[in-house]
Amino acid sequence: MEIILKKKKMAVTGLSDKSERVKEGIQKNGFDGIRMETRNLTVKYGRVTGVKEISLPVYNEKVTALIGPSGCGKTTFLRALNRMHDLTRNATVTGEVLLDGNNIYHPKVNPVTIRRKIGMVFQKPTPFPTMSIFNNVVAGLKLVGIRNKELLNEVCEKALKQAALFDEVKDRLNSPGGSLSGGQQQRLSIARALAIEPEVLLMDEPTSSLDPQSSSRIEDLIHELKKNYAIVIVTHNLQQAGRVSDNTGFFYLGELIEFGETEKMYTNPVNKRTEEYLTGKFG
Amino acid sequence: MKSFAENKTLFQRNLWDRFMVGLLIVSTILVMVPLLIIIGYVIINGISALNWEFFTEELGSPARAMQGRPTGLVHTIIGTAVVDLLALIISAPVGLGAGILLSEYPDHKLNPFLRIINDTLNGMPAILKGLLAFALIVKPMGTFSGLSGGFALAFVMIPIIARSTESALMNIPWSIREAGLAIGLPRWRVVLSTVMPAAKTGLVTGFLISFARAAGEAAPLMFTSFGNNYLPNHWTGMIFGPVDTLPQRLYSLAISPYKEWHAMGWAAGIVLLVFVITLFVTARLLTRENKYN
Repeated sequence: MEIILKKKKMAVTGLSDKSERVKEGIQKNGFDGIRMETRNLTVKYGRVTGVKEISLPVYNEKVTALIGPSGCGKTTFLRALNRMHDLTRNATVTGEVLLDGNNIYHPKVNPVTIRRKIGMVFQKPTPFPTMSIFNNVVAGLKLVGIRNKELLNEVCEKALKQAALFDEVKDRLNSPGGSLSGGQQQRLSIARALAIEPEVLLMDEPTSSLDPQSSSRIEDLIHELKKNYAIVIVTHNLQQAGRVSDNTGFFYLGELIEFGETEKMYTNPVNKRTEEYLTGKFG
Repeated sequence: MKSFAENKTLFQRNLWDRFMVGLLIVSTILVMVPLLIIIGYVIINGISALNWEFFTEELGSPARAMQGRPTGLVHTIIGTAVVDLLALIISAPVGLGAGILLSEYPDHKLNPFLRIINDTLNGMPAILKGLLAFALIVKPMGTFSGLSGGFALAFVMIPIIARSTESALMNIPWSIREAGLAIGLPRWRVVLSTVMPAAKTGLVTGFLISFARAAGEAAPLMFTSFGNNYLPNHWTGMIFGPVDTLPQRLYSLAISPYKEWHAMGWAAGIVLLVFVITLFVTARLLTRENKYN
């Protein structure tokens, strides 16, 4: 009976209640192993709403892609997942973001410890300009007081190998991070994020400033990394989202329109707008 | 059909362009000429008094110069270095701290006040800064001193350092800070270990410019370091007793009634000019280097 009512509501409004939609998706697809979850997450810049009441799960050892046209709130949402908005002027975050069931916006939670558990890679490569490749990778450890050389060497090698950069830079770990090519710099940024061994990795359009070859290397890398991490990736590139992700969330005008398994969404989207976007009718 | 090059309006526009560029060149020359005249005049008048004794002897009484006995400004040159360095030591941490607060914590409650105080201090007549140091240091200590001179000059330098620090740090892209925070570094650590090293050149340039500016100030030193014709018996006298400094010695030599002292005043001017120009040129070179990076 309830389900019928909901379907009617959907038919009338074209949209169902957002959290309901996620639950529906979970029931339908039988998902499990939630690492992170947002509940009615709203981000406002002053009076302007960035994203509105987003409820979305992030699964362990899966890649979650966020797609949608420019300015629809994907990045805003992503930045809320590791409290990056704490620094943005006028930004207010309401709702909950749960990491393993604990709200990271709880007043007693220190954002610094949260960011060590939830790593982030940005759109543009951001090596620290004055540091060597080695120091860039281990910055997250060295700058909080870890001085053990052996440990740092070990972590550096492991992280660079994970980021598929080790072979290219192993002979010049002491040269500046800025001396690498754009694609290498982005992998260096990924290595730096991995060096602190986070639980979740957030990637904000990690390939948008790279050439196709470097992009495909990063995509391969994402495939490798998801064995150990929960990954959330924002991308403008629908093919990329299709290639790398297990689940996809479609954002439009600050709202989560649809969330589900990528394959199902791409072949058989539930929502009309998702279908229009995926087929290139707008966006 | 006429080409664009033959077009009359294009010709007029070119003419207008040349005229305006000409105006710019003329105004540049107008700025340069007084500077060159000053430098030239100071050198012509002072060069005769610049000799070995000038850098090795104390000034002593006017009689020394009038009787042709060796006299010089060694105590002034050393005094200038001591007072200016004291000023730098006092002002650098304060100015740096204020600049960091303004740039890295733009939402901080103190910032609007800090900005107003900084601007006011920057615009305040230098002699008032001398009076402030007089009230704060000279009065309680009961004596004129190099230390109080250092404080007076620090009041000149602090607002300049705060400003230059702020703009040097603002030049570093915000993404660097976010990258630091994203790997779980506390905010102060991000500023100290990623932003400030990247802004190093700009920071040093700011110090140099403020230093050069303060080194040329005479007014704040009149009631503070006061002046001295001799080297103190012990080096601590440079800090805790009255000390000579170049700009202020230049002034007192110039208003003295002795012809020999006037020449020494011009020579002191040369030394001061060389010192200040060296600092400014160094600052310029550093900034230029930064641009190419």
